[in-house]
Amino acid sequence: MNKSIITISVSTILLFVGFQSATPVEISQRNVLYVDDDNTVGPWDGTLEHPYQHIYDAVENASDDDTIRVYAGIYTHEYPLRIDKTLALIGNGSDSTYIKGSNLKISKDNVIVRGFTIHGYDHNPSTKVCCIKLEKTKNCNINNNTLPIGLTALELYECTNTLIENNCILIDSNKPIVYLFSSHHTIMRSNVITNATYGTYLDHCHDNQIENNTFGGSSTYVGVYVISSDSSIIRRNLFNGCYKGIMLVSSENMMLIGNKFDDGDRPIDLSSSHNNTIEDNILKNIWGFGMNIRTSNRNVFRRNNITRNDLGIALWSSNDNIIEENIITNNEGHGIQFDDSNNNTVTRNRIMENKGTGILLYGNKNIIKLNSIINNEESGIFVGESADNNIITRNTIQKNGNTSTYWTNGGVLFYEKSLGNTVTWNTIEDNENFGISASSSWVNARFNWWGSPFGPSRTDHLLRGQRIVSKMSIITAFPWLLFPLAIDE
Amino acid sequence: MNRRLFTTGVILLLVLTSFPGFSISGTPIKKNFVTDVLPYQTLSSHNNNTEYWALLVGVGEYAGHPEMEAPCDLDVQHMREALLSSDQWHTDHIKTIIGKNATKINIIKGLRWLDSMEDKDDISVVYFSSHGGYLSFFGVPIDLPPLDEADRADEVLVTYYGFINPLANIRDDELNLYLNTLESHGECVIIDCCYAGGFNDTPRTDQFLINTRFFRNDGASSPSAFAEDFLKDISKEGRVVLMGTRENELGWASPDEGLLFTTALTESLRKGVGDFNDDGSISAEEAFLVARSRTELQHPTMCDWYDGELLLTTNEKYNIDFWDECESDSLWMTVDHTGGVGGDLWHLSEVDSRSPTHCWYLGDEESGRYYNNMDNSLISLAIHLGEKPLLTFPARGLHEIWDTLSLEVSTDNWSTWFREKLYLHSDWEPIDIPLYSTPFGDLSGTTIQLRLRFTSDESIPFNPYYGHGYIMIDDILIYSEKTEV
Repeated sequence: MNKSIITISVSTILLFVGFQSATPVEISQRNVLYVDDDNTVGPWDGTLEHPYQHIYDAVENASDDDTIRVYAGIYTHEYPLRIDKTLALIGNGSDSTYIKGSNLKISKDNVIVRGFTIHGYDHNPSTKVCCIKLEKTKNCNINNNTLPIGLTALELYECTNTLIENNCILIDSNKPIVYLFSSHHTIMRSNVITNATYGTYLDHCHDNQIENNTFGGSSTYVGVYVISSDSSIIRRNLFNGCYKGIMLVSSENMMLIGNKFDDGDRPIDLSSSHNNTIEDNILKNIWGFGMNIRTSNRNVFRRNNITRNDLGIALWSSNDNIIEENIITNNEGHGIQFDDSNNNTVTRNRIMENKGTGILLYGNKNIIKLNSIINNEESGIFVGESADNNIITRNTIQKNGNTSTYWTNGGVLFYEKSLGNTVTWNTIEDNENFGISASSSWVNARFNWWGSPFGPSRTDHLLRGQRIVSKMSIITAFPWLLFPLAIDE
Repeated sequence: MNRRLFTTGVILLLVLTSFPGFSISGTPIKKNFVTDVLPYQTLSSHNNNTEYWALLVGVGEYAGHPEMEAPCDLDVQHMREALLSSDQWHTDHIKTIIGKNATKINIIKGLRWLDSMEDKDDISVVYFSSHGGYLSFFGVPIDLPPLDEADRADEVLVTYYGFINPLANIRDDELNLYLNTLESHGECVIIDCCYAGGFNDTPRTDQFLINTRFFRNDGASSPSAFAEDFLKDISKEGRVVLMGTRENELGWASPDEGLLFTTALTESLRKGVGDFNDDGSISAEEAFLVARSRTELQHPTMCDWYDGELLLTTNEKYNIDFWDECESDSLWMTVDHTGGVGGDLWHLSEVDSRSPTHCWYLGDEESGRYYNNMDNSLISLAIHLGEKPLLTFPARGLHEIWDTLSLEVSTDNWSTWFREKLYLHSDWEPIDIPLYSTPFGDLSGTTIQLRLRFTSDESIPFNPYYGHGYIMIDDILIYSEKTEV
């Protein structure tokens, strides 16, 4: 153990440590008590010369705003270490300073815990417990720790302004590993959390930030689970191999921005969650739904890149959502799938080269406009039974159905009885089999460009454009455009 | 019954009942849903001249709609076997109609056969297993005369041709019409159906699921409305009506075992479990109580207009050692083993129940969760056991995986006990504990106490996926084999 490093440069080191958030008392201004487990014979007064042997002696003898410096070593206590004073508890680094056999319970504001490996274990009942628990605290700072063993890593109950930063959390437990209950204005960033069933769990919380963290490991069920919470930001996190990346349940006004998801299933999953913004996320190599949206309304999905997944976005009984400017390409199934979902707007998306349909539509009064729906293997747009009064306008619908063996695939397919749908001002060309095909439906298909100034063809015709197939349907295509519109027109 | 007289009666009834407000039964409707503990009375429905007759109908196959198939033939088979397990039932007194034969005409013929065979000394059983729904054409509800439906739609039971021709179904008015021609002093009508598909569903996710809209599907035609409307329409003095579902529920079935309610009901009748009044017989009411506690996922409903008990099978196999519908706390006490730290959350609740209105509930109903660091017991009074006792009760619960509900049993006033961890699901499911095979050996003939003990650790007092934490227990039953004296 190289203690000279500590003894010479305590204050110097501390000056280099950046406290980036709520730490009201600078460590350098504090009175310092020392702890060294090698001082087994005493005397023990907490000075540099006579450090305490046990951390709890230092805590007991400390005053508010003191700093406790802990030399490298293994500190085993037989009961929880309760910190009910405003202290900075600084270890010599999580690779050399261990707190075993007792966990930390913090119930005072402005506490700093840094540089430890902490085992969540309680000697008396001989069971695993939470590593660090904070109750009703403000401005606490938990950083640069390793939390490898325990039921949970961190639990926050009714805390505000907590900074959780640069911790390495390795606990494999079925519990939420970082659990926040009714805690607000928390910043959780740059932590690494692996193999946690629930990496981070926000329960009745608001105004928190979860950013730049890494969630991974094959046994991670949900990276970030948010229930009954609102107004928080989850951004720039990396989710690697999590079964679900971010799950919102009954939560509102959340912002999911710039996260990356690789591998796993349903990286973004919303259930009964409204008014959320999901933008600039990257979803790749997902083997299930990219985004799975259930009974969730008025959300915005913007500028996400959803590529090489099983399926792009699926909405189930979800209304009034906006899906715009996303790149949805090379997915194994459909680009966007609506099931019993109404009044949604899909605009300015690039829905290309998916192996299913570009947009599979079961729902009413949806607006699909200004999208590029190109080169999807099945139809560009599939309108299902009883999907009525949808508006499909100003889209580019090209080259769909090209590689499919099914003759039923082409530009826009009205598969079963549907009424009141309009397909207008679109560019519909070069699709396999047909531009529009309808069965038992009534479709207004005026003002489209069909690939020829002579309009669409009802039968094969050299001069005319895309074919219209009508089975017991009325498709009104006249008048048509004499030249294609640019998509931004 | 004289055929001409019958035909005349039918025509007269059809004419008369086409006027609004006319009740086919001729008696004012008064609901008599069983909500209390079965009275321990012995009003036998049996005398020496009593014959037992049954018409058992299981549709299960549907013309043009193979996806709606259901294992109703199994249900009929189980019901037939259950009845024939008792000496008063004879094979030539039971008529079965299943599969393609279950057309409207054949079912009506079956009802007329039943009418022709039974008389006022007899007991009749009519069992029907199929889909249920509301009559409509292209989504428009239809109430054919008599115009007696507040929601303007007749309830129907679907026959073989019922999905391609709504008029080929059995309407509640029609069923009531034929049932009212029966003279039996006791009638048991058992309807096990669901409202809108799901017949092939199972309570397990490893089975296949079909969920199909049929007839109307709006708020006015909920399963609750279906069950209650149907009960109202076919209620009559001397009749016990048992239905497999209650509010907001589909009927559930296992492809291998049949409908869950019928399975539980026939098990009670066949095995003789449920002789609450110790008269050596299983009545419709007793069988229902057992079936209700053992039917997963759905809430069976009974409407009892029979004076006393309507005996269905005789059986000398089982005693009831203990029975509590959990409507009062008189047989139980709660203990907080932490001395106030973890809290005492066991209480009677009306949040949900298998039996009439209450169940034992552990948790805080307001937050929908329990507490950390709990060690809370629900302890029974002393219970004397018979031979080969079996403890069974339905339970449901959500809790964190490290928190546990255990059943503890002591034979020496808690000086020693054994513990068995219980695994709960979010829906009601029966739990069976054979008390003849325990860590303490066979407890036959001993006096025991039960303790339902819940312990939670120091964090996450709820199931993280659902965000809720609670335990519910209801209808606690211990029965044991009868021994010859």
